[in-house]
Amino acid sequence: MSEVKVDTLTGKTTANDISVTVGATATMSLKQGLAKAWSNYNQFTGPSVRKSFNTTSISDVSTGYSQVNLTNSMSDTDYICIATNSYDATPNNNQVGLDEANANTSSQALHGTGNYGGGMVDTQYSQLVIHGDLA
Amino acid sequence: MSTLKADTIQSTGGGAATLTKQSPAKMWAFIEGTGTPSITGSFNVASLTDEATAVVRANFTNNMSNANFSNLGMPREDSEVVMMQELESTYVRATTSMVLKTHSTSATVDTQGRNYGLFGDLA
Repeated sequence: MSEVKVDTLTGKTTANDISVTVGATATMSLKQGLAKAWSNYNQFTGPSVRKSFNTTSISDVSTGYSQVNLTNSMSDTDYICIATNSYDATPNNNQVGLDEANANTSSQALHGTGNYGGGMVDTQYSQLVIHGDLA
Repeated sequence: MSTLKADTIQSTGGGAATLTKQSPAKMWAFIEGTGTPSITGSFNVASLTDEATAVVRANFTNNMSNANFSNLGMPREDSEVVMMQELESTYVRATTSMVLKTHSTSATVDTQGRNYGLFGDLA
C-alpha cells in the first residue's frame, strides 16, 4: 500500500476537476461527490449551531422554518438540500415531517418542519446536508 | 503546505482510491415537476422513471455494488407539509436505482420538487 500525504489536491488540467476511481472500474468526479455544506443545529433554541461546515449562520425565519446561510455560495439553485429532524420534548409531537420551502437562493437554503397535524414546529435536532456545485 | 496536481486518482492496483475522512456521495439529484418529473441538477443519474403518482425512480449511470446503500430524500413543497419515504415492499431495492414516495398526512401527493441523495459503494 502506498500513501500520498498532501494538504491540497488540485486538478492538473482543470483546477477543480479530479476523477477518482471509487468502484472496481467506475470513476467519479471528486468535486461532485463531496458535500458542500452540512450543519447540526437546535431549531428549538435559537437556532443554535452544534457543528457545521460552510455555514455562516442559521436564521430563525418563523416557527418551523430555518434558513441556512452559506459561507461560500452555490453556483445556482439546482442543488439538493436534504435534512432530518427529531423532536423528543413532547412525545405526541415527535413524528415530524420535513420539507424544503420553495425559496432557495445560491447562498441560502430554507426548509420547514411540521407534524402530522399539519402545523409547523421547531425541532431540537436538525441535520442538513447540501450537494451541488459551488460558485 | 503541499499541493498535488493530478487529473485522476487511483489505488496503486488501479482500483478504488481511499480518501481519508471522506465518503463522497455517489448520487444526488434535484427533480422538479408535479406531472412528469424532470432533472434540473444531478450527478450519476441517467434517467427518471415516473412509477406512479408521487413515486419517482432515479436510475443510476454507474451502479452500486450492493443494495445496502443509504438513500436520502427531502421534498420541496410550500403549500403543505409533505413526507418522503421508501416503500421497500413495493419497490425492492436494486443496485441500479432508488425510489422514493411523497405523501401528506393521509394521501399520496406529487410535490413541486424532490431532493435525492445516496451514499454507499459503487460497483
